[in-house]
Amino acid sequence: MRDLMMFAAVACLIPLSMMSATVAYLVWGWTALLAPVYYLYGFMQSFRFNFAFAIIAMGMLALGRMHERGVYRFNRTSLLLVVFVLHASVAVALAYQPNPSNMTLYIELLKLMTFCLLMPFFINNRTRIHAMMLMIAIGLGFHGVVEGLKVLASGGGHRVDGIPMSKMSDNNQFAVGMVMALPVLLYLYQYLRNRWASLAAMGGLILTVIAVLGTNSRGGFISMAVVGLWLVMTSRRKFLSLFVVLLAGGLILMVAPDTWFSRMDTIDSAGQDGSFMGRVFAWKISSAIALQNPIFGGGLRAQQVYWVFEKFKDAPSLISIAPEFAVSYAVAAHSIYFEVLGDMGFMGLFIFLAIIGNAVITRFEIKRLVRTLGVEYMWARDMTDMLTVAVVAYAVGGAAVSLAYFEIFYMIAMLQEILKQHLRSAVAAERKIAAAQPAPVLPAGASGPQPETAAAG
Amino acid sequence: MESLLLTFDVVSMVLLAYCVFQYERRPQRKKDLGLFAFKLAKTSRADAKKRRHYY
Repeated sequence: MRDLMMFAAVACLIPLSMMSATVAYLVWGWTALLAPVYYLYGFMQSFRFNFAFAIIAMGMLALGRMHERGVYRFNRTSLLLVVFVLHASVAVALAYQPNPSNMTLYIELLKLMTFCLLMPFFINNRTRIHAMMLMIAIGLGFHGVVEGLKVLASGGGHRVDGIPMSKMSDNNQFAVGMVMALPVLLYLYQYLRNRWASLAAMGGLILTVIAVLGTNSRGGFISMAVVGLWLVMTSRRKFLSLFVVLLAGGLILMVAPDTWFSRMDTIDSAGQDGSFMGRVFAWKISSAIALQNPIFGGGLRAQQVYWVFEKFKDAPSLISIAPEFAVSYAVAAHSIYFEVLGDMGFMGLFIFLAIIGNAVITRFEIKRLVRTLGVEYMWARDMTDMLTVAVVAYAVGGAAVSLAYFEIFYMIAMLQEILKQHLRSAVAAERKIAAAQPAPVLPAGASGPQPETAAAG
Repeated sequence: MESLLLTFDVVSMVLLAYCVFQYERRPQRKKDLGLFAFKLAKTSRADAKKRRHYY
């Protein structure tokens, strides 16, 4: 039944995509975030949703069949993403072999970067940016709503384990992904004009918070707490934000099951916790790989390869760990930072940190542009605040999960850049209009600046 | 429940795709930023109530 429904949807979406490249682009992003294959069991499971809409979008762009195509101004974010992918290409070429994940993950990274680097062509005005935010909410928010309802229906007994056929394949990755969806839903709650749609965004947000609690993820909880704090610090209505965050915290304390509390209690004793120390051991392996290959690392997911793990488990590294916590099998990096460090070396980590830092710096540039443009562009300030919250959630929550190549982070980084470009164009247009207006004619004998001075100002 | 929600999600995306398609086709409607149920507000919900802006 689901397959038939999805078939009908694709039958509607393909013609719409063939008529509008923006639609094709949005559906391309949606299929990446939703991972529809996981929810299907029949004939549509083999359909390559992502590939089909990517081909349509890129084909229409290449053929010039696009209404109001965006002007591509090469920018800092694009430059960083291109450098990152070029660096990854060399790291993949020089990777420890055999490593079956190396090429698979590289192809995924290329697809993701293609999507992000093409974004300025497709998303170039406020409505399209808004549609992009809606697409993220519909694609990513869906997982939060479904899992949140399952947690509610089971009275807190359902444990959320993630979406196996996506980047959020375990509970910790899922928690971080969902915390990143929260600010997008909050933005839509504020900016959807339709009352019901706005309430749906708020409902999705509440269910997503419940889904994060259902993961029993300590990293997810810390990430959510940081998001709350960041919201209070950067919000235009600090007291209201503080009230909402405290209310949410109180509700969590009231409704969360005992298992959740006992799990969170282990945060204090992480140094003795086997699960956490297993991660520290994984970080040790990553840094050992990077120390031997400082520029290009060991290749994508090298440390998950058994023989690479064996080679580096006793090698010198940046982290020392007690022998009783040593792990005897190859493990994932369990940190976005150590993942990139092991995969692409110190150079790769530097570029990765620059992408994160750039996304945060862009927020301050956008705020400055909004000051120039006035209250009409307050939406851009609110949007950049929310996008930055998502980046902060990723930077904090990602410290303990392997999510370095997570689509949504790169999408948000690029969306910040597009927002900045949009505002810069608006400032340039305003200046052009101001310059074209004739200088005011002063009455005879009136004191004031000379016309030349006024025009120059 | 999952099937119902998946249907709702997919229908929402089809609807969004249709709205974007309509928006792209009719430039004269751009002024109201009309995206159906996804219609965009010029100011945030709180700003619309308070009409007070500060940085």
